[in-house]
Amino acid sequence: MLAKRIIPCLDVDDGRVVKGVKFEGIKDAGDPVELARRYNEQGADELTFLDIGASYKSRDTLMEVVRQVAREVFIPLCVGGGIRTVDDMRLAMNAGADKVSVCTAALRNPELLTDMARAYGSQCVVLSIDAKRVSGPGEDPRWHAFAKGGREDTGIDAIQWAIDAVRLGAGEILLNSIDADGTGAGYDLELTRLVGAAVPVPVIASGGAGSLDQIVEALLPDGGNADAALVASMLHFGRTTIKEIKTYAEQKGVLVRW
Amino acid sequence: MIGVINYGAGNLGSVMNALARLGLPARFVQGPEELVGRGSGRPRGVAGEGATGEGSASEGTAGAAGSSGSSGARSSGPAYSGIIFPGDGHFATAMEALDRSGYSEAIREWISADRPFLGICIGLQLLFETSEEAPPVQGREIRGLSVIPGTVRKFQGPKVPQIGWNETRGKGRSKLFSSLPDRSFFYYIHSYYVVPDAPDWVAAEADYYGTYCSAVERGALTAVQFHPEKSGALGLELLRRWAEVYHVS
Repeated sequence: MLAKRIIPCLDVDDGRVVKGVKFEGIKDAGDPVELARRYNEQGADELTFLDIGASYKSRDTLMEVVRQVAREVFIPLCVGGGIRTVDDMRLAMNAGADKVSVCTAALRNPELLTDMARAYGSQCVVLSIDAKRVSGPGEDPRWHAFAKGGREDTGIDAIQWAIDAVRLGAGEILLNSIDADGTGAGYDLELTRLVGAAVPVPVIASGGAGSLDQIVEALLPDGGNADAALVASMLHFGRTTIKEIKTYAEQKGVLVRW
Repeated sequence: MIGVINYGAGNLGSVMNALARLGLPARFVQGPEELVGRGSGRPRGVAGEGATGEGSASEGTAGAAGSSGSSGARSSGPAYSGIIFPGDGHFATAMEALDRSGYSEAIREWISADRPFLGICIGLQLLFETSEEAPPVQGREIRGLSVIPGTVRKFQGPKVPQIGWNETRGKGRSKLFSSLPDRSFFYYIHSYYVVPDAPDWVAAEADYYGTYCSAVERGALTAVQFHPEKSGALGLELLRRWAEVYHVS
């Protein structure tokens, strides 16, 4: 049986791991290589690095971080943030990434997903969706895909975007709920479940884990039914460990890897 | 020295990183001729060469005996004690690259001489005869390396590819897998799985929309569907044991 994955997410700005609340209010959380090492030892199933610095210098620094991590950590590595072209992807892959995630660039140019899948295979292409609930109370639930780190409403339906993106070449969906991100209010279980049912690829739930219960709910079949959960603040600020998450998940009937 | 075959399929850096971490010397194979033994020390006794020398013969002897002349210039070519055949990619594209470059024949020769060989991911699938990933084109079958009788099928289920860590069980008297502890998870990323005609090829199994073969073993040939180089401590341990069991260094 396939295990559900627990994936620490390291938002990196100019060589430091940072974590914001609702995409704002950034706090420093440490050295990325050091954290990667620690999470690997704790049993992380994969690591995601997101460059949120968005300058060339910040990106080059992140590539050096990935290169260093790849030499000593032997689990899958995903790199995102500021990847706009197949050449950007190549830089990340050459540094040691196993896959890249794209968000805004794919919204602007969906063909990018196809080009990336052609170059490396769709298993290396992760579409990151920043989704925000736009329906009012009492309406049928609707979510839009947002661009530019959650600042721009594209008006595109998030679920339809997931379906289209997979058709174009995305091999995995990283589903980030903006409503919940960094607030500890929990993953958007309804959205996670709907996207998972709509696409034939794994869905990684992201955004807003504030308790062990929320992480486990995102993974359970009658919760979000996600294939993996991305966790950031809870780990970086020492509120929990991978081991604790997995132990708890296992107690609740989730298959995890030890 | 371990030779890692690079035929343009996927990112091989992590395989090199893993071997470096284990202190196992490795390099990319520079071309198929490095596998067929001419002018190099270790790989010899290839069928048809008619070498009469004992196994302990010096490099020079082997080079001279085999010489149809010119290979002398490369007499100090690398002698691989084992070959790793990794990669991701498409069955047909990979076969085309292997056929064009001459690797197909060299790999078959290496394996038929029962030299240590480790295939990873598509490096397992390519050892088979055919694949559902590469259906016949205008009635003409696209053949794999055909070292192992059998075929490669696509998973039938709602989530394909399989991406993630799957529990893997050793089968039979496998040298590498029978001692695998319970609840051993390896990292997989694939849409197709191998189906050997003879069940005794199966060295390990996992479950994804049914039980499938996740490793094969026979003689000095091992091939795995998962990525040991991405499977954490357990994956590194498997690579280390492969090197140990087959005296690859």
